Amino acid sequence: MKHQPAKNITDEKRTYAHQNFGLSEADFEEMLQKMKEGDDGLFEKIFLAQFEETISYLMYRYKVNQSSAYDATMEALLKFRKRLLEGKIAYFNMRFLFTQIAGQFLIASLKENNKSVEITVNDDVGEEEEEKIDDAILDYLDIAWKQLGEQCSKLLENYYYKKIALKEIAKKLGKSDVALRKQKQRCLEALRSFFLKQYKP
Amino acid sequence: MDHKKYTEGTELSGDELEAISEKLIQAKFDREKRKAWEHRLRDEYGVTRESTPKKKKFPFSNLAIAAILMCIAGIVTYSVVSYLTPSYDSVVNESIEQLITIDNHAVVTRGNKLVNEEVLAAINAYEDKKYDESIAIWKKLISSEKIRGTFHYNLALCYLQKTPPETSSAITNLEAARKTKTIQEEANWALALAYLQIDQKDKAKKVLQEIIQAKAYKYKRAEIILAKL
Repeated sequence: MKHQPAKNITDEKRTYAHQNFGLSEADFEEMLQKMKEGDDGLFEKIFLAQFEETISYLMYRYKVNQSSAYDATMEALLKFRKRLLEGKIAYFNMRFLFTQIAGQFLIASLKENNKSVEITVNDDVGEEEEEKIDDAILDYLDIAWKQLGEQCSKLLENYYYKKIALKEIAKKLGKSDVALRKQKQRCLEALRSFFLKQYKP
Repeated sequence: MDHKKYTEGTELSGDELEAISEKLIQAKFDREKRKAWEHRLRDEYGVTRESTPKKKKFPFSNLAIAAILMCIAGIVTYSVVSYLTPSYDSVVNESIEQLITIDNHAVVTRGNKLVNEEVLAAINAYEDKKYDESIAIWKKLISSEKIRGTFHYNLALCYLQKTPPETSSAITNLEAARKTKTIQEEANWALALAYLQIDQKDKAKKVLQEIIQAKAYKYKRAEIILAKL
Protein backbone atom coordinates (compact mmCIF):
# COMPACT_ATOMS: atom_id res chain seq x y z
CA MET A 1 0.00 0.00 0.00
CA LYS A 2 1.34 3.34 -0.99
CA HIS A 3 1.98 5.83 1.73
CA GLN A 4 0.29 9.15 1.08
CA PRO A 5 2.63 12.08 1.52
CA ALA A 6 1.91 14.09 4.67
CA LYS A 7 2.37 17.34 2.73
CA ASN A 8 -0.84 16.79 0.71
CA ILE A 9 -2.96 16.29 3.82
CA THR A 10 -1.55 19.48 5.32
CA ASP A 11 -2.24 21.40 2.10
CA GLU A 12 -5.78 20.12 1.99
CA LYS A 13 -6.38 21.12 5.59
CA ARG A 14 -4.90 24.52 4.91
CA THR A 15 -7.21 25.00 1.94
CA TYR A 16 -10.24 24.04 3.99
CA ALA A 17 -9.16 26.33 6.80
CA HIS A 18 -8.74 29.19 4.34
CA GLN A 19 -12.18 28.54 2.90
CA ASN A 20 -13.61 28.62 6.40
CA PHE A 21 -11.96 31.74 7.82
CA GLY A 22 -9.09 29.79 9.34
CA LEU A 23 -11.35 27.37 11.18
CA SER A 24 -10.67 23.66 11.20
CA GLU A 25 -13.69 21.39 11.28
CA ALA A 26 -13.18 20.91 15.02
CA ASP A 27 -13.00 24.67 15.56
CA PHE A 28 -16.18 25.06 13.57
CA GLU A 29 -17.97 22.48 15.71
CA GLU A 30 -16.70 24.21 18.84
CA MET A 31 -17.94 27.58 17.59
CA LEU A 32 -21.33 26.10 16.77
CA GLN A 33 -21.59 24.42 20.15
CA LYS A 34 -20.82 27.67 21.93
CA MET A 35 -23.38 29.54 19.84
CA LYS A 36 -26.00 26.98 20.68
CA GLU A 37 -25.29 27.66 24.34
CA GLY A 38 -25.86 31.35 23.76
CA ASP A 39 -22.19 32.34 23.50
CA ASP A 40 -21.46 34.27 20.29
CA GLY A 41 -17.92 35.26 21.36
CA LEU A 42 -15.96 32.99 19.02
CA PHE A 43 -18.29 33.61 16.10
CA GLU A 44 -17.91 37.36 16.48
CA LYS A 45 -14.15 37.15 16.85
CA ILE A 46 -13.81 35.25 13.58
CA PHE A 47 -16.38 37.04 11.50
CA LEU A 48 -15.75 40.61 12.60
CA ALA A 49 -12.08 40.05 11.75
CA GLN A 50 -12.90 39.46 8.11
CA PHE A 51 -15.60 42.13 7.85
CA GLU A 52 -13.32 44.59 6.08
CA GLU A 53 -12.17 41.98 3.60
CA THR A 54 -15.78 41.34 2.57
CA ILE A 55 -16.42 45.04 2.16
CA SER A 56 -13.40 45.29 -0.14
CA TYR A 57 -14.57 42.31 -2.16
CA LEU A 58 -18.06 43.77 -2.64
CA MET A 59 -16.69 47.18 -3.61
CA TYR A 60 -14.39 45.57 -6.17
CA ARG A 61 -16.88 43.02 -7.48
CA TYR A 62 -19.95 45.26 -7.75
CA LYS A 63 -18.34 48.68 -8.07
CA VAL A 64 -20.31 50.13 -5.18
CA ASN A 65 -19.41 52.64 -2.47
CA GLN A 66 -18.13 51.64 0.96
CA SER A 67 -21.36 52.37 2.81
CA SER A 68 -23.44 50.08 0.58
CA ALA A 69 -20.86 47.32 0.94
CA TYR A 70 -20.71 47.86 4.72
CA ASP A 71 -24.52 47.60 5.07
CA ALA A 72 -24.69 44.46 2.94
CA THR A 73 -21.88 42.81 4.92
CA MET A 74 -23.62 43.66 8.19
CA GLU A 75 -26.90 42.14 6.97
CA ALA A 76 -25.03 39.06 5.76
CA LEU A 77 -23.38 38.67 9.15
CA LEU A 78 -26.72 38.75 10.94
CA LYS A 79 -28.18 36.30 8.46
CA PHE A 80 -25.17 34.03 8.68
CA ARG A 81 -25.41 33.92 12.46
CA LYS A 82 -29.08 32.99 12.25
CA ARG A 83 -28.47 30.27 9.71
CA LEU A 84 -25.64 28.80 11.71
CA LEU A 85 -27.90 28.60 14.76
CA GLU A 86 -30.61 26.98 12.70
CA GLY A 87 -28.13 24.33 11.63
CA LYS A 88 -28.37 25.36 7.99
CA ILE A 89 -24.65 25.88 7.41
CA ALA A 90 -22.17 23.04 7.39
CA TYR A 91 -18.38 23.08 7.38
CA PHE A 92 -17.66 23.37 3.70
CA ASN A 93 -16.80 26.74 2.24
CA MET A 94 -18.10 29.43 4.55
CA ARG A 95 -16.01 32.16 2.96
CA PHE A 96 -17.69 31.61 -0.39
CA LEU A 97 -21.15 31.32 1.11
CA PHE A 98 -20.72 34.40 3.26
CA THR A 99 -19.56 36.60 0.39
CA GLN A 100 -22.40 35.29 -1.77
CA ILE A 101 -24.97 36.14 0.88
CA ALA A 102 -23.45 39.60 1.27
CA GLY A 103 -23.58 40.01 -2.51
CA GLN A 104 -27.21 39.05 -2.52
CA PHE A 105 -28.06 41.62 0.14
CA LEU A 106 -26.20 44.20 -1.87
CA ILE A 107 -28.08 43.35 -5.06
CA ALA A 108 -31.41 43.53 -3.23
CA SER A 109 -30.52 46.93 -1.84
CA LEU A 110 -29.38 48.22 -5.24
CA LYS A 111 -32.57 46.96 -6.84
CA GLU A 112 -34.58 48.74 -4.18
CA ASN A 113 -32.81 51.95 -5.10
CA ASN A 114 -33.29 51.24 -8.82
CA LYS A 115 -29.61 50.89 -9.50
CA SER A 116 -28.49 48.41 -12.10
CA VAL A 117 -25.94 45.81 -11.21
CA GLU A 118 -24.24 42.96 -12.97
CA ILE A 119 -25.84 39.75 -11.73
CA THR A 120 -24.49 36.29 -12.35
CA VAL A 121 -25.99 32.90 -11.56
CA ASN A 122 -23.53 32.45 -8.70
CA ASP A 123 -25.11 35.32 -6.83
CA ASP A 124 -28.21 33.33 -6.02
CA VAL A 125 -27.69 31.35 -2.85
CA GLY A 126 -31.38 30.78 -2.24
CA GLU A 127 -31.95 33.58 0.22
CA GLU A 128 -35.62 34.32 0.67
CA GLU A 129 -36.53 37.98 0.93
CA GLU A 130 -37.52 38.98 4.43
CA GLU A 131 -40.27 41.34 5.38
CA LYS A 132 -38.86 44.64 6.59
CA ILE A 133 -39.96 45.89 9.97
CA ASP A 134 -40.15 49.60 10.69
CA ASP A 135 -37.83 51.02 13.31
CA ALA A 136 -40.85 52.65 14.97
CA ILE A 137 -42.42 49.23 15.60
CA LEU A 138 -39.17 47.98 17.07
CA ASP A 139 -39.00 51.05 19.32
CA TYR A 140 -42.42 50.19 20.73
CA LEU A 141 -41.37 46.56 21.04
CA ASP A 142 -38.37 47.68 23.11
CA ILE A 143 -40.69 49.57 25.45
CA ALA A 144 -42.99 46.56 25.77
CA TRP A 145 -40.00 44.29 26.28
CA LYS A 146 -38.89 46.28 29.31
CA GLN A 147 -42.26 45.61 30.90
CA LEU A 148 -41.78 41.86 30.64
CA GLY A 149 -40.47 40.12 33.72
CA GLU A 150 -36.90 38.81 33.64
CA GLN A 151 -38.04 35.22 33.32
CA CYS A 152 -40.10 36.00 30.24
CA SER A 153 -37.51 38.15 28.54
CA LYS A 154 -34.77 35.57 29.09
CA LEU A 155 -36.99 32.75 27.90
CA LEU A 156 -38.03 34.55 24.73
CA GLU A 157 -34.51 35.73 23.95
CA ASN A 158 -32.99 32.30 24.52
CA TYR A 159 -35.60 30.51 22.48
CA TYR A 160 -36.24 32.92 19.62
CA TYR A 161 -32.94 34.68 19.20
CA LYS A 162 -30.31 32.40 20.61
CA LYS A 163 -32.24 29.45 19.19
CA ILE A 164 -31.66 27.34 22.27
CA ALA A 165 -33.96 24.33 22.19
CA LEU A 166 -36.87 24.46 24.62
CA LYS A 167 -35.74 21.10 26.02
CA GLU A 168 -32.35 22.58 26.91
CA ILE A 169 -33.85 25.65 28.55
CA ALA A 170 -36.30 23.47 30.49
CA LYS A 171 -33.45 21.26 31.67
CA LYS A 172 -31.47 24.24 32.95
CA LEU A 173 -34.48 25.68 34.72
CA GLY A 174 -35.55 22.33 36.11
CA LYS A 175 -38.96 22.58 34.47
CA SER A 176 -40.91 20.28 32.19
CA ASP A 177 -41.09 20.95 28.44
CA VAL A 178 -44.85 21.28 28.61
CA ALA A 179 -44.78 23.80 31.44
CA LEU A 180 -42.15 25.86 29.65
CA ARG A 181 -44.08 25.79 26.38
CA LYS A 182 -47.14 27.17 28.18
CA GLN A 183 -45.01 29.79 29.90
CA LYS A 184 -43.57 30.82 26.54
CA GLN A 185 -47.07 31.23 25.12
CA ARG A 186 -48.10 33.40 28.07
CA CYS A 187 -44.96 35.50 27.65
CA LEU A 188 -45.75 36.07 23.96
CA GLU A 189 -49.28 37.15 24.85
CA ALA A 190 -48.02 39.46 27.57
CA LEU A 191 -45.49 41.00 25.20
CA ARG A 192 -48.16 41.68 22.60
CA SER A 193 -50.54 43.10 25.16
CA PHE A 194 -47.82 45.49 26.47
CA PHE A 195 -46.98 46.39 22.88
CA LEU A 196 -50.58 47.19 21.93
CA LYS A 197 -50.99 49.40 25.01
CA GLN A 198 -48.05 51.50 23.91
CA TYR A 199 -48.28 51.36 20.14
CA LYS A 200 -49.43 54.47 18.31
CA PRO A 201 -49.32 54.03 14.53
CA MET B 1 -46.61 36.31 7.82
CA ASP B 2 -47.68 39.93 7.91
CA HIS B 3 -46.36 41.57 11.09
CA LYS B 4 -48.89 44.41 10.68
CA LYS B 5 -51.56 42.04 12.00
CA TYR B 6 -49.62 42.06 15.26
CA THR B 7 -49.85 45.83 15.51
CA GLU B 8 -53.51 46.10 14.51
CA GLY B 9 -54.83 44.44 17.65
CA THR B 10 -56.82 41.82 15.73
CA GLU B 11 -57.07 38.38 17.22
CA LEU B 12 -54.23 36.07 16.25
CA SER B 13 -54.19 32.30 16.34
CA GLY B 14 -51.51 30.66 18.46
CA ASP B 15 -49.44 29.86 15.38
CA GLU B 16 -49.76 33.37 13.99
CA LEU B 17 -48.74 34.93 17.27
CA GLU B 18 -45.75 32.60 17.46
CA ALA B 19 -44.60 33.24 13.90
CA ILE B 20 -44.97 37.02 13.99
CA SER B 21 -43.46 37.32 17.48
CA GLU B 22 -40.46 35.33 16.33
CA LYS B 23 -39.90 37.74 13.46
CA LEU B 24 -40.24 40.77 15.67
CA ILE B 25 -37.99 39.39 18.39
CA GLN B 26 -35.42 38.43 15.78
CA ALA B 27 -35.55 41.96 14.34
CA LYS B 28 -35.32 43.55 17.78
CA PHE B 29 -32.18 41.62 18.75
CA ASP B 30 -30.69 41.94 15.28
CA ARG B 31 -30.94 45.69 15.66
CA GLU B 32 -29.16 45.53 19.00
CA LYS B 33 -26.54 43.19 17.63
CA ARG B 34 -25.96 45.48 14.66
CA LYS B 35 -25.28 48.42 16.97
CA ALA B 36 -22.95 46.37 19.19
CA TRP B 37 -21.01 45.10 16.16
CA GLU B 38 -20.72 48.59 14.72
CA HIS B 39 -19.02 49.69 17.93
CA ARG B 40 -16.72 46.69 18.02
CA LEU B 41 -15.80 47.11 14.37
CA ARG B 42 -14.93 50.72 14.99
CA ASP B 43 -13.09 50.24 18.30
CA GLU B 44 -11.31 46.95 17.70
CA TYR B 45 -10.88 46.74 13.93
CA GLY B 46 -10.94 50.37 12.85
CA VAL B 47 -13.78 49.72 10.39
CA THR B 48 -16.44 52.38 10.16
CA ARG B 49 -19.25 53.00 7.78
CA GLU B 50 -18.38 55.92 5.55
CA SER B 51 -21.16 58.36 4.96
CA THR B 52 -22.64 58.31 1.46
CA PRO B 53 -21.58 61.22 -0.74
CA LYS B 54 -23.97 64.16 -0.55
CA LYS B 55 -26.13 64.93 -3.55
CA LYS B 56 -25.39 68.01 -5.57
CA LYS B 57 -27.37 71.08 -4.64
CA PHE B 58 -30.38 71.89 -6.79
CA PRO B 59 -29.62 75.05 -8.75
CA PHE B 60 -33.02 76.75 -8.06
CA SER B 61 -33.90 78.83 -5.03
CA ASN B 62 -36.39 77.54 -2.48
CA LEU B 63 -38.94 80.08 -3.71
CA ALA B 64 -38.70 78.84 -7.30
CA ILE B 65 -39.05 75.23 -6.15
CA ALA B 66 -42.12 76.18 -4.11
CA ALA B 67 -43.68 77.91 -7.12
CA ILE B 68 -43.04 74.93 -9.38
CA LEU B 69 -44.50 72.56 -6.81
CA MET B 70 -47.58 74.76 -6.40
CA CYS B 71 -48.15 74.72 -10.17
CA ILE B 72 -47.77 70.95 -10.32
CA ALA B 73 -50.12 70.51 -7.33
CA GLY B 74 -52.69 72.77 -9.01
CA ILE B 75 -52.57 70.86 -12.28
CA VAL B 76 -52.78 67.52 -10.49
CA THR B 77 -55.69 68.66 -8.28
CA TYR B 78 -57.60 69.98 -11.29
CA SER B 79 -57.04 66.76 -13.21
CA VAL B 80 -58.05 64.58 -10.28
CA VAL B 81 -61.19 66.61 -9.54
CA SER B 82 -62.18 66.60 -13.21
CA TYR B 83 -61.55 62.90 -13.40
CA LEU B 84 -63.36 62.04 -10.18
CA THR B 85 -66.42 64.23 -10.74
CA PRO B 86 -68.66 62.26 -13.06
CA SER B 87 -70.75 64.12 -15.59
CA TYR B 88 -74.59 64.07 -15.49
CA ASP B 89 -74.76 61.78 -18.53
CA SER B 90 -72.25 59.34 -17.13
CA VAL B 91 -74.13 59.12 -13.81
CA VAL B 92 -77.42 58.40 -15.60
CA ASN B 93 -75.94 55.89 -18.03
CA GLU B 94 -74.03 54.15 -15.29
CA SER B 95 -77.17 53.95 -13.15
CA ILE B 96 -79.14 52.41 -16.00
CA GLU B 97 -76.38 49.90 -16.66
CA GLN B 98 -76.46 48.90 -13.01
CA LEU B 99 -80.17 48.06 -13.00
CA ILE B 100 -80.71 44.40 -12.34
CA THR B 101 -83.73 42.21 -12.78
CA ILE B 102 -85.69 41.32 -9.69
CA ASP B 103 -85.37 37.65 -9.11
CA ASN B 104 -88.30 36.75 -6.88
CA HIS B 105 -89.40 33.80 -8.96
CA ALA B 106 -89.91 31.67 -5.87
CA VAL B 107 -92.83 33.97 -4.96
CA VAL B 108 -94.26 34.81 -8.36
CA THR B 109 -94.21 31.31 -9.78
CA ARG B 110 -95.92 29.84 -6.74
CA GLY B 111 -94.21 26.50 -7.29
CA ASN B 112 -95.29 26.21 -10.94
CA LYS B 113 -92.38 24.42 -12.61
CA LEU B 114 -93.01 25.70 -16.10
CA VAL B 115 -93.34 29.32 -15.01
CA ASN B 116 -90.26 28.91 -12.86
CA GLU B 117 -88.21 27.71 -15.84
CA GLU B 118 -89.45 30.57 -18.01
CA VAL B 119 -88.58 33.17 -15.35
CA LEU B 120 -85.10 31.74 -14.99
CA ALA B 121 -84.66 31.70 -18.77
CA ALA B 122 -85.75 35.36 -18.99
CA ILE B 123 -83.36 36.39 -16.20
CA ASN B 124 -80.47 34.51 -17.81
CA ALA B 125 -81.21 36.07 -21.20
CA TYR B 126 -81.15 39.53 -19.57
CA GLU B 127 -77.82 38.80 -17.90
CA ASP B 128 -76.44 37.61 -21.24
CA LYS B 129 -77.65 40.86 -22.78
CA LYS B 130 -80.06 38.95 -25.05
CA TYR B 131 -82.72 41.54 -24.43
CA ASP B 132 -85.15 40.59 -27.24
CA GLU B 133 -85.18 37.01 -26.02
CA SER B 134 -85.82 38.17 -22.47
CA ILE B 135 -88.56 40.59 -23.62
CA ALA B 136 -90.44 37.79 -25.40
CA ILE B 137 -90.54 35.66 -22.27
CA TRP B 138 -91.59 38.51 -19.95
CA LYS B 139 -94.36 39.50 -22.34
CA LYS B 140 -95.63 35.91 -22.43
CA LEU B 141 -95.59 35.74 -18.64
CA ILE B 142 -97.43 39.05 -18.31
CA SER B 143 -100.18 37.79 -20.59
CA SER B 144 -100.59 34.50 -18.72
CA GLU B 145 -99.93 35.24 -15.05
CA LYS B 146 -101.86 37.16 -12.42
CA ILE B 147 -98.97 38.57 -10.38
CA ARG B 148 -97.35 40.81 -12.95
CA GLY B 149 -95.58 43.65 -11.16
CA THR B 150 -92.13 42.10 -11.22
CA PHE B 151 -92.58 40.97 -14.82
CA HIS B 152 -93.46 44.51 -15.88
CA TYR B 153 -90.40 45.82 -14.05
CA ASN B 154 -88.06 43.25 -15.58
CA LEU B 155 -89.51 43.82 -19.02
CA ALA B 156 -89.00 47.58 -18.65
CA LEU B 157 -85.36 47.01 -17.81
CA CYS B 158 -84.89 45.11 -21.06
CA TYR B 159 -86.32 48.04 -23.01
CA LEU B 160 -83.98 50.45 -21.20
CA GLN B 161 -80.88 48.38 -21.86
CA LYS B 162 -81.57 47.65 -25.53
CA THR B 163 -79.60 49.35 -28.25
CA PRO B 164 -81.23 51.63 -29.18
CA PRO B 165 -83.39 51.75 -26.06
CA GLU B 166 -87.19 51.63 -26.32
CA THR B 167 -87.77 54.06 -23.51
CA SER B 168 -91.49 54.72 -24.01
CA SER B 169 -92.23 50.98 -23.71
CA ALA B 170 -90.06 50.93 -20.62
CA ILE B 171 -91.99 53.82 -19.07
CA THR B 172 -95.36 52.14 -19.77
CA ASN B 173 -94.22 49.00 -17.98
CA LEU B 174 -92.64 50.90 -15.10
CA GLU B 175 -95.84 52.83 -14.57
CA ALA B 176 -97.58 49.47 -14.30
CA ALA B 177 -94.89 48.04 -12.06
CA ARG B 178 -94.95 50.89 -9.53
CA LYS B 179 -98.54 49.99 -8.69
CA THR B 180 -97.23 46.82 -7.06
CA LYS B 181 -96.12 47.62 -3.51
CA THR B 182 -93.32 45.09 -3.33
CA ILE B 183 -91.35 46.61 -6.21
CA GLN B 184 -92.62 50.18 -6.08
CA GLU B 185 -89.31 51.65 -4.92
CA GLU B 186 -87.22 49.92 -7.57
CA ALA B 187 -89.76 50.87 -10.24
CA ASN B 188 -89.67 54.53 -9.20
CA TRP B 189 -85.92 54.64 -9.46
CA ALA B 190 -85.94 53.01 -12.90
CA LEU B 191 -88.75 55.31 -14.01
CA ALA B 192 -86.73 58.40 -13.07
CA LEU B 193 -83.82 57.05 -15.07
CA ALA B 194 -86.10 56.28 -18.01
CA TYR B 195 -87.34 59.88 -18.08
CA LEU B 196 -83.75 61.09 -17.99
CA GLN B 197 -82.84 58.76 -20.82
CA ILE B 198 -85.25 60.65 -23.10
CA ASP B 199 -84.44 63.99 -21.50
CA GLN B 200 -87.83 64.52 -19.82
CA LYS B 201 -86.16 66.30 -16.92
CA ASP B 202 -89.28 67.72 -15.26
CA LYS B 203 -90.92 64.33 -14.97
CA ALA B 204 -87.67 62.84 -13.77
CA LYS B 205 -87.27 65.58 -11.15
CA LYS B 206 -90.72 64.86 -9.76
CA VAL B 207 -89.99 61.16 -9.33
CA LEU B 208 -86.53 61.84 -7.91
CA GLN B 209 -87.99 64.23 -5.36
CA GLU B 210 -90.50 61.56 -4.31
CA ILE B 211 -87.64 59.09 -3.85
CA ILE B 212 -85.59 61.55 -1.80
CA GLN B 213 -88.51 62.61 0.35
CA ALA B 214 -89.39 59.01 1.18
CA LYS B 215 -85.72 58.16 1.66
CA ALA B 216 -86.55 55.25 -0.59
CA TYR B 217 -84.35 52.92 -2.64
CA LYS B 218 -81.36 54.81 -4.17
CA TYR B 219 -82.29 58.14 -2.58
CA LYS B 220 -78.64 59.12 -2.15
CA ARG B 221 -78.00 58.53 -5.81
CA ALA B 222 -81.20 60.43 -6.58
CA GLU B 223 -79.83 63.42 -4.63
CA ILE B 224 -76.66 63.38 -6.74
CA ILE B 225 -78.60 63.32 -10.00
CA LEU B 226 -81.06 65.97 -8.87
CA ALA B 227 -78.17 68.24 -7.96
CA LYS B 228 -76.86 67.89 -11.49
CA LEU B 229 -80.19 68.63 -13.18
